[in-house]
Amino acid sequence: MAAERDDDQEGMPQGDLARESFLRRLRALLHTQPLHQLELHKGMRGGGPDKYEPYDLLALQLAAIDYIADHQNPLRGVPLEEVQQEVGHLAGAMAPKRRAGEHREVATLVLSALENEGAGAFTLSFRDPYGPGHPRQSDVKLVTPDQAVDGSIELRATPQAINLLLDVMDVDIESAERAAAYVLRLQVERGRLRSAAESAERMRRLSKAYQGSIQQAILTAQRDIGQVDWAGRVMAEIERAYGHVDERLREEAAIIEDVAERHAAAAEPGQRQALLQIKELLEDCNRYHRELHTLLMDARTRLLEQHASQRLAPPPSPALVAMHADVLLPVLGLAVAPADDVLTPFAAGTVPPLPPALVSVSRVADHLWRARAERQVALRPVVPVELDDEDEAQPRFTPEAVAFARELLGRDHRGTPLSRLLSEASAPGSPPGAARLVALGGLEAFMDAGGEVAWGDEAETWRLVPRGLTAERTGGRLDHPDYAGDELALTRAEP
Amino acid sequence: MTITRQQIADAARLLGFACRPRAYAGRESGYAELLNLYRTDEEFRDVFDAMASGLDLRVLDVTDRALLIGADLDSPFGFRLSEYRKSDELDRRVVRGLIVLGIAAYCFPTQRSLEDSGLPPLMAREVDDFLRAACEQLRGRPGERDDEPGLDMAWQLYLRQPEVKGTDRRRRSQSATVDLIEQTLEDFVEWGLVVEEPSAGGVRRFRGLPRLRVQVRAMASQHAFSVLQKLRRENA
Repeated sequence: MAAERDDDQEGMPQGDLARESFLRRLRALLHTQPLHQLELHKGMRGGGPDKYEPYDLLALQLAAIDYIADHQNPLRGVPLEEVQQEVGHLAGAMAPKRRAGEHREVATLVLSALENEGAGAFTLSFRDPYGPGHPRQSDVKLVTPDQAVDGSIELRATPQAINLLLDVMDVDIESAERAAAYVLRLQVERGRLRSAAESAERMRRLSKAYQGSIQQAILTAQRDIGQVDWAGRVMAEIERAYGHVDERLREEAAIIEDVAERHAAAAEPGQRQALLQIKELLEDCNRYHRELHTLLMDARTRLLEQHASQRLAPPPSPALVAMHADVLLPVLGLAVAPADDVLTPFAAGTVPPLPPALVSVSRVADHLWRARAERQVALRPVVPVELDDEDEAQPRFTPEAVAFARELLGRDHRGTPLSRLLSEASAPGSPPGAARLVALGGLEAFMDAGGEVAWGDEAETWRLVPRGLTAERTGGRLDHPDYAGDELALTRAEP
Repeated sequence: MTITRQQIADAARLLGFACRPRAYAGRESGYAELLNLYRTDEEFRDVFDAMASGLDLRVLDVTDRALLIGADLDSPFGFRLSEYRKSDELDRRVVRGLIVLGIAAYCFPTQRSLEDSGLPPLMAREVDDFLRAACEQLRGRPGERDDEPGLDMAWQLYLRQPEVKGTDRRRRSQSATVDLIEQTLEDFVEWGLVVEEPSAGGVRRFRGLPRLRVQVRAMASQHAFSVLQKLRRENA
């Protein structure tokens, strides 16, 4: 998987291969641009031209990436405070006479710049001299903030940033690891310990980069576990990576043993110190490879399970859509405006119908004003609806009750309490429902509007509350066994 | 066919329940009886379906617990992405739309997953990683038009958004994708598409509900797929 980029080029004509390599190296150089920017423009930052003069911001950024890459692991980034402290410490060494607060400020500036001040990727432009003349763009992220389980911020160096540690060269990491180990062995055998230590340090960085690239590939494949070709390409790549890591582990163990023996036998302190340093660096490589070994073992188990279930399951319905391959990737590959044309109906289909909290008059009106032919209705023939009044279960007021209530409400009232009318309407012998009508009439009078109650034949409208009848609160309560609430006094104005 | 007032009233009540995605029979009085009526009484079903289709709504599924309906694109009850959380501006709307699509594709990456019964746990960070990995996949694709001037691709737009809020508090971004995904998942809870589960070590966890599968399978994926096909034909 480290050689993924090279895999893509198999079968490519020689000229294309050279051009791809050229572009990769050009991009790698380009990716250092954000680091230079901060250093080059430091004099223009607030605080005057001299404020950042003693600080080499380029070196501090690279040191920050180094520190993060060294301390992160597959599961966790490095706490922001820890990196800030480390970078602040290095800034302090550059300008010991400046105050500690300023060192911390420089550290914040450096980390914020690496993250592109919260804006995500840096978009960088370049021109391909062998391609079409227009400018091209490349996005790069160096350090990404990550939220830890406790909510704190951790930083991670991206594979692109880690590549910066590899001398900005276009390398096949697997081959480079093998070569570095070979060179290291020779150097140790020949006693060139200073060079050997440099090789060991290179091996350590290479193993870190390899870990990063494999980890990324595994995570990507595992997320799409249902739709990748596990049995084919992914399985082959995992097996190859597994073989490589296995080989590295064995070779590292052999070199560590050799170096440990030499260390035990060495008498000269400088030599002992150098051998110890080499051993520690190799142990780091070994640790990265062991972590990777575990990750690959897990991935292999998962893919075998997935492969088995893929083989045993019946084929899915052809009417269904593979969301990742058939929708997500095609939409991501669209320009923004046409992507919107797909995403809008997609979202409309995902979210269930919701009555708007506030009715949007324009939407309802648009809908109602549309010609009938436009509406996509009628999955089946629409049968004309006949409304039927057959439902006799609904209680209704009888003409007697209405007449009784009208008589009570139509009297010449001068502050008559509603309770008294209610008592009359509910007295034995009164028509059922009359009291309820009186209560309603009282309320209508209170609203200062002569109400109308439709009853019986639709053409005939009966006025329940006479014009001029008003009601107002007395401050007391209704005195009636069936009705409760404010007492009202009814008064009828002179016609 | 003679339709009674009672049938219309019942159909309207059932539609009312169906338009409340978090309403379930057993939790709402009368809902179970109406569901039973819908399943067993053909005449009532016709009344309901006619009422729903007049509002450009479609019955997607009926279970013992709920009647699931979807809105056609013209329905006055339909969800408008442009009206969702200040998404009137194109870039913002596309990022929001990609998040909705990303959540769906994360839950149902394959055809088979739209048929399976299990739904994976959802965590905002995981969904974001999934979306970014898909974007990265396009970045590396040969022939991908990532460098045409003035033509911003959806994957580039998404990758440009910060993942979480910047560490410099004065410059905190309002468009961090992990935060937006979490916000969308919260809305999905309101819309009855996911539930929130007990957090795992302080990280909020959600899980899809069957309604999410039904909506994606019967409505969303079909809408999107047909627009994509149309775009392909136009560009062919």
